[in-house]
Amino acid sequence: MLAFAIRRVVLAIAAFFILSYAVWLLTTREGIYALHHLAFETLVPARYQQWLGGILRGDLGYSIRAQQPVIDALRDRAKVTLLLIIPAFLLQEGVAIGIGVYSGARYRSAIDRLFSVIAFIGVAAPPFWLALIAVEFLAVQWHLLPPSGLISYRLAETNFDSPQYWVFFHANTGTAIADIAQHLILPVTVLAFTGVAADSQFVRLTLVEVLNQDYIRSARARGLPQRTVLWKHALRNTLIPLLTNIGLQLPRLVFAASLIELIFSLHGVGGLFATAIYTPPAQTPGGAVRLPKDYAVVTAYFLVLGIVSLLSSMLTDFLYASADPRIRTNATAQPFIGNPYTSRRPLVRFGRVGVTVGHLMVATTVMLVGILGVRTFQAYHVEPPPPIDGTWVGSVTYAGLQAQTVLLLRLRVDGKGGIAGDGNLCQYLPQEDTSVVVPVNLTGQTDRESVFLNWTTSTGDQYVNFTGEYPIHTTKLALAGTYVVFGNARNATTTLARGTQGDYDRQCAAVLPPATPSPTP
Amino acid sequence: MRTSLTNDHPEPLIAETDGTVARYEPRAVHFARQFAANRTAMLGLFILLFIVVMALCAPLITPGVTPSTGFNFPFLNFPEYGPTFDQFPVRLMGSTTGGVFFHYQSVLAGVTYSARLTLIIGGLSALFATSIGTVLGVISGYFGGWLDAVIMRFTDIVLALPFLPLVIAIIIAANLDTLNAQSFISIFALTGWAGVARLVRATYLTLREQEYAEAARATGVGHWRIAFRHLLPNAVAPIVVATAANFAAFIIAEATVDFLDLGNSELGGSDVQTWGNMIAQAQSYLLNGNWWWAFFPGLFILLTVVAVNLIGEGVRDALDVRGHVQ
Repeated sequence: MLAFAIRRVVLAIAAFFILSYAVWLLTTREGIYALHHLAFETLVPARYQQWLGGILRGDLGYSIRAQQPVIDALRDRAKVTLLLIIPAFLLQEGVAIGIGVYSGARYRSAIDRLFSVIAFIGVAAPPFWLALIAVEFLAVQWHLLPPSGLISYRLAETNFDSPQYWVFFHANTGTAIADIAQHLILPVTVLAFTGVAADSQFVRLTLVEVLNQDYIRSARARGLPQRTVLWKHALRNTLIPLLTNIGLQLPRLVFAASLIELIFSLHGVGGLFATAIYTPPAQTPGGAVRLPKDYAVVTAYFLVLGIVSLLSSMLTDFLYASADPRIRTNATAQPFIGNPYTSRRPLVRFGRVGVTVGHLMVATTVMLVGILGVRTFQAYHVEPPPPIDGTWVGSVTYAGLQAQTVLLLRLRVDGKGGIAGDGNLCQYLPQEDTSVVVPVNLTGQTDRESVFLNWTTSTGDQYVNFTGEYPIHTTKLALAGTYVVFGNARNATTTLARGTQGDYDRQCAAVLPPATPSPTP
Repeated sequence: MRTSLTNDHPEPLIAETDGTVARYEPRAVHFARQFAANRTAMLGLFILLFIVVMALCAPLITPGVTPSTGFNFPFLNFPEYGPTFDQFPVRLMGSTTGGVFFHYQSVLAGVTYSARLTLIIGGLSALFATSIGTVLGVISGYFGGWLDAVIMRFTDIVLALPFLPLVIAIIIAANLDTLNAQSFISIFALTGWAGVARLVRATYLTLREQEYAEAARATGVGHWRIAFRHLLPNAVAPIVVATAANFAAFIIAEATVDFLDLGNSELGGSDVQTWGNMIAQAQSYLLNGNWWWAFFPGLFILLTVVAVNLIGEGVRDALDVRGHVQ
């Protein structure tokens, strides 16, 4: 068992390196740049090594949406995700085993067919659609359950996980737990539903096969009651293949949780990822714009998902090996990466997968030689940061504004990260829920991924001032002459009044310095 | 999900009612008879036929509606802002005015016209993924050796992440402006083959040890001919099931990608008029109480996936001469 464990852990570590390289190549901006330009000197692992070093030190980058380091964002949001995933997982497996055994024991009866039909629908329906429809009916139309969020803001009068919330929690523990439970019913049920549908059929079919075995017949011949035969003799052997299935289900559950978190507005890890890639376009006077994806979060999420995959696959192997001694004596049956148990059939399970530690050594050697070769034959240098002198365009998106509102914007770059600049805008909002684009003159050089911008918004006598860190879209920076900074200010809700052309002129005159020519709307 | 690995009796024996001479029924006839006897499979076939006919006859079902370009929806009440009672907002892609506009379409027209591209994307991707997977699986399973090791390592890497996250990672890496039908098909084909390859390889590990394969080798038949002419017909059952499963998975994946609105274009991430895109565009209006905008496209996705799965199982059962688990 020890030899098996060591072999499996070594394989998992090697798989981690391949996985992290794939994640680096597919989801970091450097990797994507290398992939798109087939820039060989960036494809080789020197940059990857830098990045991996950062990852291993816990530096996952800075999230431009969450406005904090990704590692902190993940730590803050892990609670919500675990609150969602753990009950969903337990519910899923418990209900699936229950239904599977119940209907497997009544194979092809009416109740079995009913469960099969429900399972068929559960597998066939897109999970996000099920969630949308469930919210629509159970929450929006029938008011049975809360539609979104984790706690009732009205009850706690603060956000979840803030210090005030925990004060409230300790004061009214029962109420708070009941409140969270009420909010979790819908997302947990929807998340578990697809898994229940798949796993219950899996248990059912495995149980039917097990029930055909000789030892079941002999147990029955000995006069054991059906309950003992079913829940002791048969279920035990049904659960072994289920273990392998769970190893496959876990990463899927984690991913499905991100869609659920997006739909139910739960601020968990998956929700962080979903909002990082979910960037619906917004209308601006200069055309529609789309906020850039939060690449640091995307990378971190895929890394987490990959590690969950590897760990669940490894855990499955250990559980399986402890349950079935044939596995740990079969030296070549372990796959390189991923889960081998895509099928219950022994041929797939024990097939000549054919990777040994030897293959692993070859792969590691190739990688090491690659790194050393690059180090030796090519001067290792860090590219100087690209100059960003020129006109930039910032945009700020407002939700809930009405058309024909006069909007004044002043933008100042605070000089952090080697960039300085300013810009002004004074114009009408052409339509509701819009973004405006403001030209900014920037000077300096940076290798930062983001800049700090200070917006001042004003309409009439109301001023809103907010500072934020905004990403530099490096893919476009490297390619185009005009650079784009997208402001992420969707939640900058401010009450703005309707205005006329006269209001507009007066406000522009009041706010803008007279020397600056105001752009015509 | 039991699949038959071998076909022990390729030509099933049937008893004559009158004579003493037993006769062999042609394989296709036997297959059709078995399939037709399976009521759930026939139900699936009817559902799928209904949807295909609906897609083909979309202009007849919703008269007065003519597709403008490709599968884009035509203009109706354009331009009009704000949701209306019985019409469905459709984001017009590639608008030359540089803005995102909505024009309105009845839900019925949306569902019927969207069926076309949904089925085309699902079907073509499943076809390509199955072809790639089958060829690689046959090579890997029949010939073995280092080729097998290399192909299976690739398969392991592709299967390391669940399908949908992998698709999303590739779309992010591809950094596309808009996702059109071609990009969906190529991405699904490039990611969906791995499961098929592993399945086919596992089947071939048994098939190549069969007596008839050995007999063919003994008589001097070439390896490629044995692999593709002698053994492939016996691996059809798992391939059909895998194709059906892929078809279903691709439709759901396409809908999810539409829902997440990936892609960099300011005009919208997905330039496809599919059921998934209808749900994606209707979700903003769910809180207005217009549930049917998102409900019906999803219902049709569900129906299609159920139908395809039923047909897949029916085909497998009809090909599986050994019959069901009893």
